[in-house]
Amino acid sequence: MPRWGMVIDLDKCTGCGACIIACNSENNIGLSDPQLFREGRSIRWMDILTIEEGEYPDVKKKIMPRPCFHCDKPPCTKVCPVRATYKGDGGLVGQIYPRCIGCRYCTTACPYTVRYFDWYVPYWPSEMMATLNPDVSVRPKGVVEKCSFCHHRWQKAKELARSENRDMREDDYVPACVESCPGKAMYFGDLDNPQHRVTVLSKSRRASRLLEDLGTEPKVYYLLKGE
Amino acid sequence: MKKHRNIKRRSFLKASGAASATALGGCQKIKNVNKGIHEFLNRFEEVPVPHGIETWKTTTCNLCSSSCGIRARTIDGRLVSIEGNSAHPVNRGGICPRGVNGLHILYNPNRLSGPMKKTGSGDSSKWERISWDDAMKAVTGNLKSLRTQSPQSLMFLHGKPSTSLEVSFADRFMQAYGSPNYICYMDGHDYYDSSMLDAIYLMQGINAAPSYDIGNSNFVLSFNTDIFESHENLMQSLKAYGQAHSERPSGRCRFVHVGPRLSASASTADKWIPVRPGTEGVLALGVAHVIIREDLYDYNFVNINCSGFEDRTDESGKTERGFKSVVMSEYAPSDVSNMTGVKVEEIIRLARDFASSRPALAVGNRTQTRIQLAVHSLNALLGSINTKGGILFPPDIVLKKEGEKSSSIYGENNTDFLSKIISSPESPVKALFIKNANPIYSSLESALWRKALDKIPFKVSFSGIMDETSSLCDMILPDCTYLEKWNGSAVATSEGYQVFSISRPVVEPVVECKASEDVLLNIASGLSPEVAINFHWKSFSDYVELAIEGLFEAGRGSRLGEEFEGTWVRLLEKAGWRIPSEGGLDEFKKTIIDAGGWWDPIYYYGELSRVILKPTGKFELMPAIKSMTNYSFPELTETDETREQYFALHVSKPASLAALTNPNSPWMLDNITSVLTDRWNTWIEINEEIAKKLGFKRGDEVIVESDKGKIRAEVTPTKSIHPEFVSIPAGMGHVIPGEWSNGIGSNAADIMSAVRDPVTGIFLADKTKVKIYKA
Repeated sequence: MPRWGMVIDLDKCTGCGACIIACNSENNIGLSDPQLFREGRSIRWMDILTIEEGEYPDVKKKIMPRPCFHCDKPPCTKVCPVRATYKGDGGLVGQIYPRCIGCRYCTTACPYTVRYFDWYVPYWPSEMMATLNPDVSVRPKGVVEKCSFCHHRWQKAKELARSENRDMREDDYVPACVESCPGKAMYFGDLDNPQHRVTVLSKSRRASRLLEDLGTEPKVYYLLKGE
Repeated sequence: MKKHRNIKRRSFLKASGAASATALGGCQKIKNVNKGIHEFLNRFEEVPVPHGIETWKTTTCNLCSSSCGIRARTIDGRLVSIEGNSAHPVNRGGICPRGVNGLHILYNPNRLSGPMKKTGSGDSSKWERISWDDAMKAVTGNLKSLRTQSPQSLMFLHGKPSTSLEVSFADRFMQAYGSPNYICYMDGHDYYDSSMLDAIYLMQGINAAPSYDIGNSNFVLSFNTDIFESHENLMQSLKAYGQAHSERPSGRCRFVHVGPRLSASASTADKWIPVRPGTEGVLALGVAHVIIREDLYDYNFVNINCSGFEDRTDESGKTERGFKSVVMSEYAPSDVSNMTGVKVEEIIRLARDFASSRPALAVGNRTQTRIQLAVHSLNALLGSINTKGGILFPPDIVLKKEGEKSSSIYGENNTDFLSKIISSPESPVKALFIKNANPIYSSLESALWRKALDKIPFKVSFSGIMDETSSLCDMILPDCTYLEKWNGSAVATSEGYQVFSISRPVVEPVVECKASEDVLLNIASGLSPEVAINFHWKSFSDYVELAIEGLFEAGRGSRLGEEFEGTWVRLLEKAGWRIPSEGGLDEFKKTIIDAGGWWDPIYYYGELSRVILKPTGKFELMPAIKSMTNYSFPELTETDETREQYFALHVSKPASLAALTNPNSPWMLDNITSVLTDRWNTWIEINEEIAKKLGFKRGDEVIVESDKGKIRAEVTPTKSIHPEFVSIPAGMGHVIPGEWSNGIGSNAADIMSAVRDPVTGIFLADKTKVKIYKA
């Protein structure tokens, strides 16, 4: 069984936000509006963190795209009273919406704040209902949702491979954010495959993970800026 | 605006409450409960998603002039996603946020359902939905009678000049009609983008859009160019930046951003060098000083291909000082440091790094022409003209157009016609077509536009939505979006390769729209036989196919393909061969359309006689110096008490709002920029220290006032901006109701002073002074 992971090269990232919009489109994420934004309740499975460092004129801004890290030791799954969230095949941290009771223990437990509670029924004008992706269900009000590493794309890739009577090639499955990246700053693949690009890059000396000392073992690696 | 349905989930939980409580007891029980939940679930699905048959089609994104290849995924005829086409050399599979947002443009709830006609006049006017037949009859009848009297009184205002076929088609229509008044118009915030073209024209005599070969460059020095936000070819610079960093065999490209604001581009850079607003050109010449003093310039290029470097003595014995002696005497690092506020060591280090990591590239794109001239002189000093990793000038693609000649007036530098219309008792323009332009919203002279439009008796807009300008027109013939119609555009990649990118309909029209080209074709055939003979096609798609015929006859290049195919074609072409895979013209057409376009993966570097067209045949360095004399800095009052109140205004063009005529999209408004957390409102960035002094806190509502007007904005104190400078984003503040854009933010054009460059006539972006006070 593969262990899916992601590498984000911050040296190539320009913070353009293509990953956010591609994710919104792929995963039927409810549209934001000024009210949701003010309340801090817009949902963004993929987001870009900005950190301002230093004092004028020596200021630097760090830009970091942030999906769910699909930790190998996820703190969120341990607190769920109904087992609505779990670590499943491929090391992906999944969320079963119908099972979720909306207690939000997991949103509190996640140190990366990548879990979102649906405060409202997602709304699309009737014209825009046409853009909904049939591979992903729309979450009802009152449950917690999160980035799935576009798990449905893995299912599709597996089925396609089966129908063509072959093994699934690793690059058959790539999440929408990685696919959309204009600067090819994101890589995705099996971290247990020593030949794969992500495994090689995740061992680079530029590689690091966010809040590593918490022992959550996230499967998203950042390559820091520089040579 | 938002309609949330009553929660049904709670009642669902109540119903299954007893079961849930016991479920916590053990795994077996959980399984049983799950079964129950799943039975429940179907009844409670709040937003059902329809399923269907999936198809993919290649086409081209038309939202900016990059012309990226896209793949459209449709389910039972509805478009559900847009992805990048990995075979397209412009974007190689990537896609920018605007590209995905095409979905919301196609299915925008504010699209007009069909042709509209205004009845009544003044305040009592009303819009009425009419049929296409009636609309065509009305327009054709009107133009027919106008043509017999004075054909030149028809004007066509075409926004967002590009190299696409719709532009040449509209031009063709105007020629056939007999009117020279075809005007390619740039919106207010696009004005200053043309300053780079002017600089290149003055120094090289070539009138062409350059390609910056960032992907092969070792050092990119950007002078206040928002290269990763509002650059015309955004996608190409994003892609090239990725290529130039990490794992490039030739090493990593360094990127330095000079400018008063830490924009998204500056935060991407390795280093940000803040300078006083408007002094980027001085810094460029300071860098030139160090390069010349330390003998770091390209000796061959400067001596053989440049003129004006050394002093010149004419026949009368009068000596004219050259670039070298002026730069050496007037732009010593210490002087430059005083003017720009950049430390002397920093200037010297920057110049050494820049000159020693060739191929290096100096980019300046949004500021004044005089700054551009100084910046472009650096490219000449390092010999980066038409070299790999430098600034390239791709030749135009020869497309077959049946003997058209371009007569267009590029109106961006010249809006004299406005004052002519206003001042003459009866408007010389009797009928007006407006397409892709919204000057009432975005022009810096929107008051003049309003007066001029008032005087024109018959105005037809091709806008797909009701916007500020079309609301003043008499008739709207909604154009289809690029996802519903044919088009083709000739572009060049950042490596200089020529690409012809084809758009085709990927979905059935969502509303009763009609491609504006087909409308023109219809009008032409109804006018008179001598006009109709120029439009003998059934539809615009035939015109696109004609262009492809031209490519077939040119006998080079091939359909779009993966990188290795490109290498293969390149090898063959170099040896004088051509891939003979396409059987005949028909097969050629089909393969080109299916692949999404055509490209020629070969670029000839050097060729200076093609890219330097000055009568002397040499690159002129003198304009860089001449333009700097009489240089005036933004006139901020220097006394202490007033300096705190006046700021130089910078208007940023965030990538998400830059190319949209109406940002009526929740995705774009919720992701305006990634360097700030501000969204859904117009904010004003003020230096943290200054904000503290003035007593502004984050989120305070303030009034930003210039001599032209005032707007509201929300304060965002930041460390990332020069203290003499404030910045607001363009693209919000629409007054015509839209599902999302209505009442969001303020329009930056309302306060931007319409000051023109006396030489080139384009608007100067950084001439607005503002004061800020609490609302």
